[in-house]
Formats: sequence, C-alpha cells, structure tokens
Amino acid sequence: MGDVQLRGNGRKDGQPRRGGLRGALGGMVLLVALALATAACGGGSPPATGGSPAGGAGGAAQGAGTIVDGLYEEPDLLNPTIGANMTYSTLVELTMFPGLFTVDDHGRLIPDLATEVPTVQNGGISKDGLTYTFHLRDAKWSDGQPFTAQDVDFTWRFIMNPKVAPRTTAGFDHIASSKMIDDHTIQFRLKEPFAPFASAWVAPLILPYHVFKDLSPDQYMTAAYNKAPTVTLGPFKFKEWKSGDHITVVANPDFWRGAPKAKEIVFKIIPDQNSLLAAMQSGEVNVYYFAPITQLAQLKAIPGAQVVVHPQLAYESAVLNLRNPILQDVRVRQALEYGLDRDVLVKDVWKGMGTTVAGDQPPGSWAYDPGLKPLPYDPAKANQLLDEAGWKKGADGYRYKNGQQLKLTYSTTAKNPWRAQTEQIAQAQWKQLGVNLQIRNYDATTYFGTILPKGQFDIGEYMYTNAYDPYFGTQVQYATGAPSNFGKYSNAKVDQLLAMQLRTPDQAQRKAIYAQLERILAYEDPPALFYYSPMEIDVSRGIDGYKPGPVLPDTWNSWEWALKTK
Amino acid sequence: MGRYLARRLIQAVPVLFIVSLITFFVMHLMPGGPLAAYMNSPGLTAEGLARLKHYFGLDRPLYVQYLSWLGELVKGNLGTSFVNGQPVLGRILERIPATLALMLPSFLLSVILAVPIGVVGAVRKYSWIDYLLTIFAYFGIAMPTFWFGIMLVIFFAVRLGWLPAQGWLTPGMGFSWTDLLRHLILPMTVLALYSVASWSRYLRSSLLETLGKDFVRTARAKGLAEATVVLRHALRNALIPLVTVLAMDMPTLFSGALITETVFAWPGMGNLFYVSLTKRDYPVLMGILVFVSFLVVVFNLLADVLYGLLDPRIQYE
Repeated sequence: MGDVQLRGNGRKDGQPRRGGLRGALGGMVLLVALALATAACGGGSPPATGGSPAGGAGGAAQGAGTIVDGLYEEPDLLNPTIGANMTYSTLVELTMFPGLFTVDDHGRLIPDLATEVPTVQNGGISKDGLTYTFHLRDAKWSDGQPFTAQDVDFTWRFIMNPKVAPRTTAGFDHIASSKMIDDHTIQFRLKEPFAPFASAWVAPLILPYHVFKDLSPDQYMTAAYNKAPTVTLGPFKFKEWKSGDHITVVANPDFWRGAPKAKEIVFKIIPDQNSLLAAMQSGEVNVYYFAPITQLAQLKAIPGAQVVVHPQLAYESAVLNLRNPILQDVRVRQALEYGLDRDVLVKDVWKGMGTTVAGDQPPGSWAYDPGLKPLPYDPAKANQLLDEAGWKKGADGYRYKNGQQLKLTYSTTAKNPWRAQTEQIAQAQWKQLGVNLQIRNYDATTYFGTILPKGQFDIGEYMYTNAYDPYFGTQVQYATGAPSNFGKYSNAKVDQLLAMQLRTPDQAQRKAIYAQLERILAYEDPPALFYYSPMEIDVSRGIDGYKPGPVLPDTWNSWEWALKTK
Repeated sequence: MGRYLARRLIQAVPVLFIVSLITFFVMHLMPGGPLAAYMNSPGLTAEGLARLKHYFGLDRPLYVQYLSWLGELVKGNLGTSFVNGQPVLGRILERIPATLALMLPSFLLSVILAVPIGVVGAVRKYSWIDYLLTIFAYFGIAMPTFWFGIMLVIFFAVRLGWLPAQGWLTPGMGFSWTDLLRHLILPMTVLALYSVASWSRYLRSSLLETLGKDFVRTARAKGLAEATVVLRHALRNALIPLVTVLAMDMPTLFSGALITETVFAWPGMGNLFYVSLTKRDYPVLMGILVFVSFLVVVFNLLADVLYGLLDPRIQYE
C-alpha cells in the first residue's frame, strides 16, 4: 500500500575511491569516512553517453520467456506486511501477493481477491460506517491449498500481533472484531468509522494462514518465509533470492486470472542509476522502474524502448518548522509562498515534466481539486506581508525585527541536482524579499532519521508519496502530534476535518470535506510550501503489457507482461 | 614459533575488543538511523513507530545495547540484521562466494603484473619505459574507481556490446566459467589497475634501495649475471615491504571492494557493507567490521611468518 520516499533520492557515486577495508583501526576510520561520504551521497548527474547504443550483444541471453527487471534497491524482506524499503519490496511482492483490492494504471481501486469494492450502496459497508463485509473469490495457494477467509483474518492478526514490527498498522488498528461468515465471506466490525478501511487491504498483502499457524508469534519476524515466501497466491511463485544479486519468480499456472504470459521474472539488483541506464542500453534488462529525469533523453534514444512518462501520487514540498517563532507568523509563511516562482521550478528544474500543486494532493489523487490554484508569484505582495509582520529592511538588504535578522536555514538531501537548483532559486528570490537563506544539506538517512524528526531545520524539502487513500499522507504529516509532522504543525480545523472525513464512507462527500481541508493547507495556514508533482519515468524494452500507473509500482499487472517475439 | 603464534593470538583479543567498542559507539554517533526509511511512510502511526523502536532495541541506553551485543558475540552470535531479521553471519557468508570470485583473480592478476612492472621500473630507472610505467601508475592511483568503472561499462558494454554491464552471473542460466569470466573482466580491470599501480611502485622503490646495498655490489663483483643478481639476491630482500602491503590488502579479499562492487552490481561483501551503511543496519555493520578486524590480525601474523621465510635473520621469540 504505502510507498516510502527514500527512493527518489538516487543515492549513488561520490564515495571515496576503493572501498577495501584496511586494518582494524583503518576499518573504523574508514567507517567514519564512509559515513561522511555517504552523508555527501545523493544525485550527481550521470555521464553523458550519447551516440548509438549497441543493443543486443551483451543482451538478454536468458531462457525464452524470462523478463529481466532492473531493481535499483534490494528489498529487505518479501513479506509484504513487515520491513521498510517499501517501493522496491512492493515491486517484487506484487508479483506474488495479491490484496483484497489493487489499484490499476488509472489509479482506480479495483477488486483483486475480493469480488467487489465495498460501498454503502452495494451493502459492503454499513450505513454507520462501522461494518465492512468482503466477499472473496475462489483461488488457490501455490501449494494447492484453498484460499479462504481464514487467510484474510490471519493477515490482520499477524500485523497487529505485538511481537511483529509491521510496515503499517493503519486501518488494521481500527478493527474491533472479525467474523468469518463462511469460507468466502469475512466481516469486520470497527471501533470507530474509518473511511479508508477498504484501501488498507490493497495488494501486496495476504499471508497464508496454514504456513504460519504452527509458528509461535516469537518466530514471526525471523521466519524463513519472510525471505523465501514459498507459498503465495499471485501470478508468480518464489523461486530464489541470491542476496545482492537477483530474485527470481516463476509463473504460477494456477493463478486465478489464468497463467501469466511470461515464464519468469528475474529482478536483477543494480544499485546504481548509471549502471541501470547502461544495462537498459545494452539490452541486459527489460524493465527499469523510476528513472531520474536527467536520463530521459538517453532513455528515449534507446531503440525499441518504451518510455512511459506519467503522473505519480507524489509531490515535492518544503515543510516549515513551526518551532521557529519567525515561521509561527502565518504572514511570513505566506510571503515565502508569494516570493517563490514555482512555475520556474517546474519549467527549469523539471524541464516542464510536472504540475504545480497548492496542497498535498497531486493530480493523480482522487481528492485532487483542479480549482485549487497555487498562490501566484507576487514579490510585491510578499514584501507587503513581511512589512505587515514587522520585518523592516536594513541597510544590508536583509530584513530585521527587534534587532534580529530574517535568517532561515533550508535543508534537503545532499547532492541531488534538482534540489540543489531549487535551493539556489529560492535563495536568490527570497533574498530580494530580504530573507537571508542558509543552505544545509544531509544524506537521506541522516535527513529522514535525525534532522527532520528532531526538527533541526527551518525549511525542509522532500518528496512525499501518498498512499491510494489521501488520508494517510495528510494525517501522518499535518495532524497534531503525528509521527511525520516534522514542523510541529497544529491546526484544530485541520484535525477536525480529518476526523470528519473518516466518519464519511461516501467518497464524493469525503472529497468535499477534503476540498475545505486543502484550502487551509494551501492558503490560510500553510504547514509547508507545496511545489509540484513531478512526472515519473518508467522504461521497458522488448516486452508487451507494460502499464505503470500512479499508485502501485509497475508490477501491479505483471501477469500481462510478455516478452515480445521478434 | 608455536608459543609466539599463541601469544600473538591472545594479544589480539583486547585489540578486537577495543576496536569493537570504538566502532560501536562511533557508528551510533552517525546521525540518522535504521528507522529513517519508515519516517515518511503514509501508514506510520505513533504506536507503530514505538513498536519499531522497541523491536530494534533502540529504546534502550546505548551501553546496554553494546553490552547485549558483546554478550551475544562471546557466545559466538553476531546477532540478526535489522533490515531483514536474518542472522548476520548468514548474511556475511552468503556473500563470500561472489567476493572470492572477484577478489582472488584480481589479487593474483595484480601480483603477476605488479612484480615484473616493479622490477623493470627499478632496473631501468629513469629510462623511457620507467617514465611510461610511472605515468601508468599515477593514472591507476589517481583514477576514481566509480568514474573509471562506468567509463569501461559505457565503452565495452554499451557501445561495443562485448561484455555485460553488471552482475556476476547471468541469472537463470546456471553456473558457467565463461559466463563468470565475461562478467569478471571489467571489475577485475578496475581493481587490478589500482593494485598493480600501487604495488609496483612499492616494489620499485624497495628494489631501488636494495640494488644500492653492499651485498648487491659484492654479488656483481663476484661476476654473477645481472639477472641472477636482481632476481635471486636483490628481489628477495626487496619483497619484504611488498609482503607487508599485500598482507594489509588481503582482508580486502574478504571485505570486498565497496565502490567497484556497487558500480558493477557485484553481490559481494563490499556491496553488503555499502547497503547496510546507508540503512544503518548496525548488527551487519558490526559483524563485517569484527570479521575484517579478525582477518587483519590473522594476515598481519601471516606476514610476520613470511618475513622469516624471506629473511632467515628474522627470529621469533
């Protein structure tokens, strides 16, 4: 369900040369050096190759029907309920683990193991929003055992077991009780209404009860199954995982939609985007998911490559730290919005491949309101707001109030080319307003692990990828006291609207509530500067049926992938 | 000799202990942490975060975390990976085949090339060939690995299509020596270039010094052939500094070459270390560092033993 956002940061290169560890103390010194070097890790544009790629010779020499998928980051585990590193784990898991629902390439929630998406109208959700009934289809686990309501029931009990450290408990923590009405029907009673409940069951998800039933909860996190899920329900079955090298899944002939078109998929782990580009050019991989924009021209030049540029459920924003009294004044926050030309960010930084956003819902979200326009670039208005807030221009061009300079720190992930450009633009444009902007960047793990959670920044830029349901992203970042509310934002109206839409199972009604909420985030009391939603670039070569969508990684329809016959 | 070896091994215990203590605390001083990857995930709840902290044991004071790690180590248990809940030892061991497949041939190739190059450089010092080899050595030492590696890939894998761009075996094909060799050529070139360059420089300077010694003049005065003088008398004495360097480089055989393995997606230990570092997988990092520290002790000992073979005047007490 969830996508985690460390993926877009493109960690690569920039390390010290030659990583051999020399000497016991040398090793330790090296560790520190590496920590600093990875602290400086990030983008770095790939070397230009140009010219014509000589496809073929190094080419995909695999057996007939084998698709090779270049995987930027190795999954931690292949149990879809535990472990971090979600984008690339999810990508592999989607080929083996269905959910009750999945999300198609148009971003629509569609039935998967459930026969229909529950609504109040079709009786799947009770009027009070407290009871959900899921009807399940006939399907078989890859070991021949039937899939039943027992598996669905076990999956949420596994996630909520106190011995388990799950990816997310959201939704499942609202279950008061479950009732297996028959083998193909399960009913959940919630503690309180939770409108996104159905979307908590999106693929990849369902675990086999009969595999875990003999284990004690103490063994759940270390079970061999988590690394080698030999019993699954999806279009492909687990074959092998060679650590650091590749993961292979083979066709499941008993898949309930019918046998998939490809014989097997090899997920080749290539943790370097330059190497991934080269492997695509040389024809060694058929699929390269989530390429950086800097590679777009080179990818398009590859003969026979299908480059899909499409909206994603992500947006780039800069959270404002309200621990800082300067930023507690809403006029200062609004001045920063008026004083930054977001169109330039899209046009120059993202080569036009993005859409400016006003709030936290990108165009791919069902809660997106096209009528909600971002504040225009208006330096005069920005200056006026700062004047009103009592910040007066000094002789040096910067503004002062009670002897204090209007000085703010801007932080993001280091060595990221587009973020570096954004910082420079912000620094130059805000300087005209009289803001002294200091830039301080960090490696992704430091930034997300320490700087943001501990609030050691004034303005912090990052990309956030929403889940299918808009609630999860908004709640986790902007609700009072939420774990990823890095700026200590607290707005009673926002909290109230978030709670209100949870009690509203009807999506159209929820959307109306969201429209009010987004207006607060965009204009009245912004918690962050919302920039733009960048396009996503996914590439395939030599295969049919490749249909990446805005929500799930590209393997959501892996059963339709087929190697092209020449 | 036996007593000497036993004493040296016992001395290694406090060394390893101090190394582990320092690395553990330095590692935890690094900002960020294993939970960073969870921090902007849409499904995160406050209780969920607390459960993760507790599961990783990060809610305990640092010294308690160290003592519990040390207690397990004494029992021979390197712990379990934060990232995937699997035993650390298993994660290290499964990387050894690929590591050895890359490092052993690179090491042998480097020695085979470095020794003659060093000898030629010393014997023909300040000749055009010495200058040529010197230029080559500067090139090899100064070249950034990630840049040189990617250049080789672009030229040989992308432009010419002769060699694969990444990996160590073609997935789904089963093992074959030719397949491994094709994958080996580029990363081996990158690794050997640096080793040959630096080792041949060591040997050249050490041999130059030896060639100026009295016993070499005596050998020449006795009318021995120049080849015998250089290879039998001078080279053997000049090898001692090289042996030290080789012994210090040997642990890289096991720990892998971090950058090269990352650029070529080679599934060895360097790759594992890099990934574990970016994820702050403390148990795996500690496991690799302890393993490498142990190897350093062992190979230093081995180098000391080799000195005795090269120079009988060196005695062990």
